[in-house]
Amino acid sequence: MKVWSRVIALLLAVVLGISLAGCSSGQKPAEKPAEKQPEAPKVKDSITIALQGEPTSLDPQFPDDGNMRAVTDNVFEGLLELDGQTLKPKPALATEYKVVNPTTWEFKLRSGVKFHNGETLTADDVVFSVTRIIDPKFKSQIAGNFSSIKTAKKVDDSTVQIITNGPDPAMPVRLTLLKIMNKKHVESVGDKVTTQPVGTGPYKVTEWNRGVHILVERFDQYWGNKPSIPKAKYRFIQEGSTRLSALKAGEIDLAVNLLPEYAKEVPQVATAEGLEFPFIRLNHFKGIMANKLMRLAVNYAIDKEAIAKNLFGGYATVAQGQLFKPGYVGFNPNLKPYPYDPEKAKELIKQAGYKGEKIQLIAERGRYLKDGEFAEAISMMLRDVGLNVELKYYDWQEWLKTLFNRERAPDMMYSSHGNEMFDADRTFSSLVHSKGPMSSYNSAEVDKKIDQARTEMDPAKRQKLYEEIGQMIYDDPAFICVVNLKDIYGLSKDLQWKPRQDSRITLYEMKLAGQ
Amino acid sequence: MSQESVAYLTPTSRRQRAVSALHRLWQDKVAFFAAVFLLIVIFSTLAAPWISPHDPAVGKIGNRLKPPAWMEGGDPNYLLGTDQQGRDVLSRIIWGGRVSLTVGFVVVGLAGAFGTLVGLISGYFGRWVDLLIMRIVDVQSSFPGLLVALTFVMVLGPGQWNLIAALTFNGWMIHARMARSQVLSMRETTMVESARAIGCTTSQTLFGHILPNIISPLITTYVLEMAHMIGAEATMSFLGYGIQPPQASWGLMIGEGRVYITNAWWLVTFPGLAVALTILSLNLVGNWVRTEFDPLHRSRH
Repeated sequence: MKVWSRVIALLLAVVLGISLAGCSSGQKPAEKPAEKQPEAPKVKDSITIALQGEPTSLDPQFPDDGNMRAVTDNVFEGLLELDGQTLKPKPALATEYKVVNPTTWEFKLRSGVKFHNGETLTADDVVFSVTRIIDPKFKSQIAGNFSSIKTAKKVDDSTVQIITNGPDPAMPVRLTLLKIMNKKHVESVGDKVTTQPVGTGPYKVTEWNRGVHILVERFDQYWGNKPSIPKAKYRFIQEGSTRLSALKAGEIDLAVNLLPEYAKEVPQVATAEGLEFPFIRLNHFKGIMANKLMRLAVNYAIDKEAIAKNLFGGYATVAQGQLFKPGYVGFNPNLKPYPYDPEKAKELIKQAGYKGEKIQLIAERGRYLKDGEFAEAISMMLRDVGLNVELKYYDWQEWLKTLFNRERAPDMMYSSHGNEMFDADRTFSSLVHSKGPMSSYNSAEVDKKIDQARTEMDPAKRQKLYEEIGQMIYDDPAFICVVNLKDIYGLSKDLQWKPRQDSRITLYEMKLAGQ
Repeated sequence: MSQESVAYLTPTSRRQRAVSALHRLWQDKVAFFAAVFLLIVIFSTLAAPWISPHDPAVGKIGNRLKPPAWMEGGDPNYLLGTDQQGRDVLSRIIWGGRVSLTVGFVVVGLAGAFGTLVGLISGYFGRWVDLLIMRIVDVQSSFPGLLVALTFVMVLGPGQWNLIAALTFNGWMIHARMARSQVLSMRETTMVESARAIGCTTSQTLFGHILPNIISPLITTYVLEMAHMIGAEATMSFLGYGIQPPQASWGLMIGEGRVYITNAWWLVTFPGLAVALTILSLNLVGNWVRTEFDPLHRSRH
């Protein structure tokens, strides 16, 4: 009997225990809303931005990485910054600058600027940042932007001089890309500089959970206007369709780089004239495309309107016979796109004596908007006029190697060009000058003009030189210039932001409705 | 000898056996329709140049993403709609089937022949030959197939023939195992013993006596492997390491159409159906072949 009563007691205890546990767990959900209710009317204080990939590093001086810039453009600043709509440089960490002599620029620093670690900005930080990025040992992937800089020197605590190798009229724009770092921090953290960014910008990075997210928070001691949004989270969603569904489900507030086809489906779409010009580079050095008539023919064979209207659903404008748009230094207003004229193309091909030889077209896919489809559409149009085009997709590394090695240059190569300096020198020096890293064009005359323009300090003369170069590589084509893409962003209903001409994702310019 | 047992060996009765096999196929309705579907696929891919309404590689960019003909905005010229380059989806499916079936047949042909031969040798000779061959098979089978194929294609470069090479490299082991296990049970039979006793050479014994007697279970494996290889081709092309554009392949079509799934479902749906139905049919027919060749199994039904 005793045993039985024990068993019953135990059972009772268990049953009681379970029911109690049930009660308490049943009460919890009831409590939660009660706690939360007072918070509900409050506007949300954080937004989520979906990038295409995770930044490789958060050291803004090292990689050439758009995913990183989406974060670091809000965390770091340069001496100057670009106006998002007019593309003209304006003061940032420097309040004013003057040209002392053609190779010396002098900058007055803003006073009272704080770094995220509490340090005050001094001339030492600026000198350190400039010499760090141009140091050949550092091997910065963006050092090419600053190749004209010889050195920087401190004049006094709030004055810095930058010395150039020769006259460099594009210096102000260059400096919008050179982010200022905190000397003390960089020197003390060593390798951790890639994960612990300390800048002067409106936001500071509070957490980087690798593979998951990056969190940023408003920096209270920021010298400029206080941004509207207190916190933000960056997530990394590679697939465009996944970004779309996350946006539709309300998981994210901003999705970058959406397909034109998705524009109708998002709560709010925002577009801006983007930087990217997908184009075809023609091999002027050797092979079948070295023949000028062939290069002219392929320019006539491409229906640029159809690509802008159909392939990109109207979210692209036809390039004006060059890789620039109005507003860039060096834009030539006299150039017009080659008309779509397949008959003329066939005639030119005939004149060129083409006999059906194989023509390579090398492309990559998955990196830029509709890159694979773009290359395929181009190859289809070229086949239509009777060219035996063989399209091959390389993987990214292989494609880069081919792009940067003239010996391996194919007859035609797909690439996409974005000139974030809005200055013709960048495009011409890298893509047209026979010594340019991505060039397959070979003209001593053009080279001479590019060299001349690079050091011409008179803006009018410089502009004229660039217009001449533009005309020369239009008449004896270096590229098939096709379209200029618009950036397409998907926004949640309550996010307000006007995308910029320079494709920067400026968190500090965003607002939430109701704030 | 009774009349019937003599008739068993005459050609007339062979025809009767074929007729009765077809009859059993007709009774197994699922397998019957699967077989009919496969015949349609085989026919349409053989006749692709004549029956496909458009050139599968040529499209007008202005015609892109047109819905199937019966939908609003559809064009009767493009029955299943057009893809992201303005090409006819139906024509691409027909030509894509050609690629899939070519890859399937060639891979199973090569891998099957090689694997069966290796399996025969391994099973027949036994001892260290068997040990060596089976360890190679084990080692190679322990690598994930897709990974090996991807590495293979990355080194050789993408394309139809490299894909076939990669899949063959990956696919022979199952045939070797299959053949070996059959040979093992056959080796000890009195039939093989007497063949040896009357002085048959090794190759006569292997190919004249053993192979014909083990071929039926092997055929089932060939059919099932074919389904597997068509799936593998689709996977590789989907990932961009198989068939290269502008050539069409079902997997490639799905891969390229994937981004448009929310607003142009026909790009993924039709080639997806083609892959799924073909693989399903091959599996069903494979099952039927197994029961057909295995009288024990058959009598149970």
